[in-house]
Amino acid sequence: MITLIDASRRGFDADGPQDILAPTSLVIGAGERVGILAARGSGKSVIARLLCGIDQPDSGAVLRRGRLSWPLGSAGALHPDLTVAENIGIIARLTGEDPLSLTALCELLGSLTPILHRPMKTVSPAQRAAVAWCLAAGVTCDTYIADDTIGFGLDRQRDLSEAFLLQRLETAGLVFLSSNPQQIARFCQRFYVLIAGRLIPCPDLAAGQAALVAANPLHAPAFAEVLDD
Amino acid sequence: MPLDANSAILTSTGLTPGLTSTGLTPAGPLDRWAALVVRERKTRFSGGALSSLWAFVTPVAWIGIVVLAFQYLGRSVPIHAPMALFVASGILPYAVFRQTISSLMRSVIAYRYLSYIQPVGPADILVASAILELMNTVILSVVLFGGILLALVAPLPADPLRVILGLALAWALGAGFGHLAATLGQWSDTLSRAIPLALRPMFWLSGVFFTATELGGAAQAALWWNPLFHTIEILREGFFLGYTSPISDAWYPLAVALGCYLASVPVGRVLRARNAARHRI
Repeated sequence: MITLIDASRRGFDADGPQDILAPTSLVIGAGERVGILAARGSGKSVIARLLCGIDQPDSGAVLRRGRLSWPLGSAGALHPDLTVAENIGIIARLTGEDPLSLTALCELLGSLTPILHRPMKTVSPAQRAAVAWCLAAGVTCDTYIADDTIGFGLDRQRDLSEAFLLQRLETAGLVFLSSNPQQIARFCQRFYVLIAGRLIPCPDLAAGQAALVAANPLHAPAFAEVLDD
Repeated sequence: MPLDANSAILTSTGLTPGLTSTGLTPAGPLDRWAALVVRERKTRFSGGALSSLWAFVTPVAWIGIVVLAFQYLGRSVPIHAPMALFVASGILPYAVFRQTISSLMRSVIAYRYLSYIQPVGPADILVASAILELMNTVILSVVLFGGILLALVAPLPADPLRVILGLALAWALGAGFGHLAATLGQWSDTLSRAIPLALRPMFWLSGVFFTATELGGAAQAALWWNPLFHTIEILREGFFLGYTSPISDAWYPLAVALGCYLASVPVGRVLRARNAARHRI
């Protein structure tokens, strides 16, 4: 469960300081699956970090109950000089998970067997993304946070990762920030649209998308592409 | 076929519907520090089997260079002791102090992404780095002093506890000041470059090459305020039988270390509350 009480966050872009999140009050209940549709470059990652507790709001407060994941697929905590297995083991210890079980789970989910004992810096970007995603989704959480990345890989791996996440979501919540309305519709039940730093609830994702395109005419082509997919 | 393979994997991942994660105990501070120390230890000298030797090669090289310089300049050792041992008694605490500060300043920035793994934060990274430096101090001291004592067949320290106190204080001073320096360095690039520069004179002003008893009254009074000088002189009092120094008050470096650490706490809070760290995460 995540509660925002008048929480705000400012950021900078080419035009100077901007409200990434204007003072917002919001409750995301335990087990809820909330999708936030936002244009590219509108500060999704900042909001994701704010929800996770990595960043602090400039004003107001963000309260959390239960364990939150870090944004799915974030690879920053992986050390390039450690092997894949060592990285998994250390993150397991940091999170209180059993290192052996988490390693086995990641190995299975990400098909990591061939690279398990290779230093992180020698694996391909796609393999690194797989390790990062499996770790974040593999740690048991009450609420998962996804910042644009919801699964990993292609074809069978993508299907597997998404199916695994859906399985996780039987007992956990999700906040998914994305510019892709179709993906949001697949994973979420309650929707918001981020326009000019305001989180506007929208019962209907299509209406939210239309509002977003109207507010950001420059982003319209990006959304058109997504709709054509 | 792919679907079957996937469902087999999903079944074997062992997720039980209805299971809630509230039963999972998050890692406490001690577990977090232990995991981070392991991580730091494994990566500190990454780059081959010989790489960990560099931890010893650097201070040994320093000692060698200073001994050669002493001989070239015709400087006699102010304490009745082998020259290498006297030089090591000055250089080792200095190296511990300096290395601890560098390590804390580096790790808090290099490992900033670890704060994605909540509740890991900069404080955990700093504590883990400081613990690892303490472990390195112990190993380095045993190897270096042990090696010199064996090689020169010199007498054992007169008061081993005081030797340990001197080294522990040098480390504590590095850890306390390092906390403050690392926190300020997160905020300002200028400070992160200026602090090592400002510390440079410590090499010359901390009694690495001389003892407090050799100084005149005015210099002695001025350098009394240098906390690192105390740690070096305390170590020498412990090592060399009969040596007593006017600059060897254990409370003073301890107070400076604690003061710096305590000052770093509100600085760190403000830094995080205002998201003022200069590195993006």
